[in-house]
Amino acid sequence: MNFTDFESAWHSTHNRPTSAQLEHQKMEFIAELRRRRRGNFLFLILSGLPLVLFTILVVRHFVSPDPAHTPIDLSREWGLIPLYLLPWSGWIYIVRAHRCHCARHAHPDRSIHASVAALLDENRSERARCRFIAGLLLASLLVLPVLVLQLRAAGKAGDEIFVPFLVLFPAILLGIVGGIAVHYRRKLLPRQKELQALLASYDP
Amino acid sequence: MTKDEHHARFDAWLTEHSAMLHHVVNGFAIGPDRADLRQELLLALWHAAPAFRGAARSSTFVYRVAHNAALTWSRSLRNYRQRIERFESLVPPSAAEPPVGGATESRELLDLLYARIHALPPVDRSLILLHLDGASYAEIAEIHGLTETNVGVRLNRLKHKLTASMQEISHELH
Repeated sequence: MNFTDFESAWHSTHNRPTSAQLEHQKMEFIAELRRRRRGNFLFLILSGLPLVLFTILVVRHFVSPDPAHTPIDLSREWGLIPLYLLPWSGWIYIVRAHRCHCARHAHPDRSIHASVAALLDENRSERARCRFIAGLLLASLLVLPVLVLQLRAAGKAGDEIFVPFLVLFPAILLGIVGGIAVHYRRKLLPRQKELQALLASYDP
Repeated sequence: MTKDEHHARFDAWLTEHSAMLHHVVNGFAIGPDRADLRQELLLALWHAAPAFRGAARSSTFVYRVAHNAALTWSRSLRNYRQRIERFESLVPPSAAEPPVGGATESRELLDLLYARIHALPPVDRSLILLHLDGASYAEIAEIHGLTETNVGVRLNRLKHKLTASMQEISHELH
């Protein structure tokens, strides 16, 4: 038995799909593509809609303020700004991460070695982003007591905001940070090791 | 690139390179994993199709995309079981994945060959698959970003290794 025997077995008809199987694979792929597109669309709509509605309410408040309520004074109640921007930055981060995940094959003109190195770089940036976002969320925990003080000083809120602002919202933020930590440890770190091992196997 | 052109190019590649894709799928995955990997390869080709400018041969481009996707393929465990179940439910008995092995001698040889290929490290696996599919040393070097000499040395070593292990198995069987 020599290598030529393997080559003739390799090129035999047993080692290729039949036309019926090929047709079936195409159908299967089209169904999968449609399913993924639907999933992406739903993901963007469901995750972005609450933020769009929230933004419309904020814009409406500034454009045509309700005369029954005191208008927001951002020089005094600036704590609202990070509170408004944080969910949007979180959404942009999630959408970017999702797009990177969907376009993870997008280096067709590079060699595989260069492509793996690029994936490793992306993994490094992704881990740095994760740490940054988690840090930002933890820092926002410090903004919350300031915001509570500002709202109470402006006479816009009483003791009723203690539970949502100092218990519920921090619990949600900590939950998100926990999710990021799980993603970091269970996906990004193992992926980093996988890619490093693959890159190392190119060394003679 | 228009939507029709995209579809036409993808269809042409799929028909022209179906054997190579079949080899990559069977060389890198076993059992139900093959359906998952096949979807990944097809998705990679689908996304890469508009980037093809004709500077390289289409076969080199398709090899690179497919092997790249196979080497960096990592199953998403969360949805993995769900996806496998969905693929299994979609496959009618007549179109089921053909067993790599079978009654004929050629099928048995293929079965053994795939088993030996699975035992190789991923990059070596890709090199031997490309070689068996008829890619030249220069093409393999371009696809992987290695030198031709390096490809030659590694492939010679791999061919000897494969032949020796296959002969060993053959002696044990007879």
